[in-house]
Amino acid sequence: MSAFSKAVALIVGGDKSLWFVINTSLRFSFWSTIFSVLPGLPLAFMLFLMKGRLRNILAAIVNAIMALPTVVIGLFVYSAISNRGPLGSLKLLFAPGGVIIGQSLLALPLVIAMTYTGFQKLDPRYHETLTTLGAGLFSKMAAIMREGRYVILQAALSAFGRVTGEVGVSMMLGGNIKGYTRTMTTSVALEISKGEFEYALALGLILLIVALLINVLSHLGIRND
Amino acid sequence: MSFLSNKKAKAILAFALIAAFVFTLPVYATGTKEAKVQNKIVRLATTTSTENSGLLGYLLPIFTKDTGYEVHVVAVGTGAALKLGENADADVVLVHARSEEDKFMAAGHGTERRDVMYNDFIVLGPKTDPAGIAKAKNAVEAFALIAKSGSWFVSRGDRSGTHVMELDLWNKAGVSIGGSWYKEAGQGMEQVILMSNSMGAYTLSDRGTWIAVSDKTDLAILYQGDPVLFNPYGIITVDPGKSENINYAGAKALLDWMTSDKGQKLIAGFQLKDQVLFFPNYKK
Amino acid sequence: MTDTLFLVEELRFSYNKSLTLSCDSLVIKPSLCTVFRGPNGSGKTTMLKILNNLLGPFAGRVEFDGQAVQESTELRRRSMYVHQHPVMFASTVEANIRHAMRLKKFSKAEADARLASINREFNLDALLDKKANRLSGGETQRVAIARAIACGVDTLLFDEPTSSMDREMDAIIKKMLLKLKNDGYSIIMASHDDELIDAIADHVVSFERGVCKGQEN
Repeated sequence: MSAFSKAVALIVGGDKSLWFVINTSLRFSFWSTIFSVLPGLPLAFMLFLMKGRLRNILAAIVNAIMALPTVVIGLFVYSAISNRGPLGSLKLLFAPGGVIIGQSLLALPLVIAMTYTGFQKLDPRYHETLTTLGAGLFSKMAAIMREGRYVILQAALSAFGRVTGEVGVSMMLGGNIKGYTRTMTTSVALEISKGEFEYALALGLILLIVALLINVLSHLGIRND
Repeated sequence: MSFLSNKKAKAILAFALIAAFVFTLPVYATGTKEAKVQNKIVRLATTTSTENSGLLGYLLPIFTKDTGYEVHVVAVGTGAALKLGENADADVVLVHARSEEDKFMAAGHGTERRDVMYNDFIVLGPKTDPAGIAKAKNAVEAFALIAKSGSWFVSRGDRSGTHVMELDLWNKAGVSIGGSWYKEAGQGMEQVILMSNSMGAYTLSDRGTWIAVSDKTDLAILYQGDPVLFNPYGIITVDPGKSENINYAGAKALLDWMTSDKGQKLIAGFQLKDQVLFFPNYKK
Repeated sequence: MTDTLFLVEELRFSYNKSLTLSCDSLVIKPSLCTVFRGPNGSGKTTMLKILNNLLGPFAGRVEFDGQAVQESTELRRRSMYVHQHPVMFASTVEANIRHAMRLKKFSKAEADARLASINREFNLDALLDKKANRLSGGETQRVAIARAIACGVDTLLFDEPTSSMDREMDAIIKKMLLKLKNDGYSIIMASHDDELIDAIADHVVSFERGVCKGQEN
């Protein structure tokens, strides 16, 4: 109980380093969500338009990537952006850019899978109507995305939740640098390792609130579907 | 249909998105400010012990004030820290594993290595001391007694300086590790101490970390003082020939500052719970 | 325009590895009303969708105005398929119709004129500002037909246009279809509404268990 009330006091008292970490986390998650949804939507739509075996194979690959542990994604990106990697000169490792790249890649298969299945669950008559109306590829995509906007919203919210809650990529690519790349989850990992449970608990509470908010928003989306 | 009107839900969603954006806005500004002083950033790869003990949090703001360089600390195990230097993903390395450091220098990854300070390793265990190591004549005997008694031992298992020291002691004691009594945690020192506490196991720790977490455990220092347990820290500037990304001037500034009279005095003055953690030992 | 609108030869269509429709030979003539008759699941809807190139791939040959439907540039310009229960996009009726005309590359001025014209013809005034996805079944069918006409097609494919609606609405739709036929539109429709078939059909093609049988007058 005392750890809990101390945690609440940290949050309510506006502890500066705590709020900085929260802000960093949300900022990274915001951009990672944007950069996973932007390429994710057209890719999901391509998958949706495809037919036959190739589509099934690609969908299976997307699902397999989704099951990869975050540290493995982190490792791939690490080897690309480390000084020795092809993108080494950009100095993305242990910087926000690296974390956002890693998190976007982490969320990308989730966004593709969720929007793809969501599009498939849309009434097939929408697609047939667009085809018989003679809609081109982009008109079709625009119309399907409009019909599936709650699907997209939910995918984006899930992506946001996924990257806010993950620790592997942020730790590996961000380096948990204080005041720079320290996020809520890497901070929790650090504080637990130091035995500072109050601070970790305070961040845990914020993470819980973020997760709850995402679920409420997502739920509103379903209800309006 | 919904308990909310479509319009209302839309308004809530729009509000949430805008709120998220506005909330994160202030930091976009600081983000660009950080980018402007990019060449002023020094990337320091170090071990968790220097970061988590609070030493760097105490020293680095003063260093920044003195030199204008801002230090980004990446705290990992010694093995990983040296690897970051080798790959030119760090400009300067502060670690404690002399043999690994010498290999690093011999391979030409570093341009300069200096002793900075030392602390010492201690053997922790349950207050009852089931292996009776408190009476041991030296550190090697203490380790032999732990193995003989079959008491549990939690190892860092992460190629950290502490882990390297531990393996060396098992080796000298003629113990082949790997039985069910030997637990490899693969985690940081604090976590390993907390694990040892809940498992009633022995472990090897650096003194700094122990002081920081001691009041959260029922463990006690059961063996200390053997010169073998001396734990020297070295600071190494990474070879700038490796990559254009290396901020050599900043790395050199940090190396010089840590080994300056001022830096050494500050290290000696750093206390945690009224105890000195690190003893400066740079000799010109 | 030739005397053959649609030509089907040796068509075999399989779905999930089982043969769902076969048709050895079928000729559909322009400016007439051809009705596909048969019980549910006999392949009428599948045939309509294949004619409009909405389903594939299939074996055999299906032509529209002398060109294979898969390659025909005229098919999309001149023909349109109307679902048994058409769907509308989540905007007003007017926006739906305008959207369709935009897809058909009509200019703003042309679209204005066409909208005014179909509004007169089908008396849509009361519907134009309504949410298109909240209309009743009959209203949706009316709007879907109006949308097709607005797009300037001459060939309409209907799937059960008068089913599952109230009698009053059925009568309105029937009147619309008869008017379209008299205006010279080619109509191909699936139906088992005998009253409608008697009133409108020039040709009847029977379907049974996925096989299209011969034509009768």
